Amino acid sequence: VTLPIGIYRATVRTTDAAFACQVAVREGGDTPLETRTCVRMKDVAWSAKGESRFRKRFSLEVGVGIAQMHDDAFTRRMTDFGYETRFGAPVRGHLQVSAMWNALPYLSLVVEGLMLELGARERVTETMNGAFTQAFKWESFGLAAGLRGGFFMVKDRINPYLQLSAGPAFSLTRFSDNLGASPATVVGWMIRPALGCNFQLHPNVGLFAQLSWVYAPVLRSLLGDVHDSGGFIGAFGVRVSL
Amino acid sequence: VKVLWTLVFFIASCAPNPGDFAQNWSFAAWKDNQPVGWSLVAGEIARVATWHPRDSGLALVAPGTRIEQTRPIDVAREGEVRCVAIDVVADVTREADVRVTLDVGSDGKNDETQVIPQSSWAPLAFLVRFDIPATSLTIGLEKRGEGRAVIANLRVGRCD
Repeated sequence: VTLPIGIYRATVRTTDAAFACQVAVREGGDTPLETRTCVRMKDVAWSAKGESRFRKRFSLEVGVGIAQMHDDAFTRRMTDFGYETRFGAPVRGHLQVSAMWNALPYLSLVVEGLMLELGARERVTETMNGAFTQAFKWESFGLAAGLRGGFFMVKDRINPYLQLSAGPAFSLTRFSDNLGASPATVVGWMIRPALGCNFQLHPNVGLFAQLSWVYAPVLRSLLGDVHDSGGFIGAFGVRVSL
Repeated sequence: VKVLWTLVFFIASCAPNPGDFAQNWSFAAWKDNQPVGWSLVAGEIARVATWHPRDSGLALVAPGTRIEQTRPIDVAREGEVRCVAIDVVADVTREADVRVTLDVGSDGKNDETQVIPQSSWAPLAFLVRFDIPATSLTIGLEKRGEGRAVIANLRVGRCD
């Protein structure tokens, strides 16, 4: 940098600190900027030149929310066969964990784990030997990878985004009756478009809200009926960036 | 997760069960290759899987097969029964010619016969009314023709 003769105050930002320096520029020569003689600045929001305080390389999100319960051919068939659910609620709880590698300024690679569904149906048949109870329970999970693209607003504090992820989905099923239980693991797939927004409260900590739709046709009956463990999901949570 | 399931079944256990005149209406319980509570009168039956390998249905194998169950009705305790609702879930071809029979009073004479139409596990419902109150019901299932006939549910309940 070419400067007129004079005494300057300069702030030097590195990746992990900021320094206040005083530099005397004299005539006819180079004046090195030595940070050894500078004063480290305390409690100053800093970032290296060209980098935003709120854009970090890695992020981790943990979220909870509610997800839509829905009937489909699989569950309607269970109802026809006399298997009943005592939970009439149209929504269920949801849990998700996501890790992001913010590879490009507006594009991130996402890996996420989702608790998709806990389902249960039960049928009680009276017999001359007493009640014969049959229950079918399933717990569905998803593991997906995808891309998240977004933009930044309000000095990079707000980050709306769109995301598309896909990957394997699993259901741990358990059919039980008076004679015993038969657990099984079923593997399928899932796809999940999502839109959301991050709100950075601090360079390393933020909140997020997300709306997504999951299609996860994991369970399949012997009669060919398929159950989608997905649906609409609304989630919010905490985001930690490094 | 275990706590959640405990809660689910605690809530489920608090709910009342609807009354059924037919015992073992889902053919869930079997003993010696025969559904518990049902008598094989003629022919051949088999236990087959339905929507899940552990959910069994009753296959009426040979033409002329008949099973039945007699259920005494305690009028003093259960009240008069002048009408029953029959709910069937079955996988039946047209050629199988499957019928549900009701012998009101269990005197050995079928008072009512309902043909189960061709169906692929669709729920079917019939209403049967009696002139006199039933003191006993003999519920029968018979297959007269060739073809597939698998019964998943045969519920007979009060409709009055």
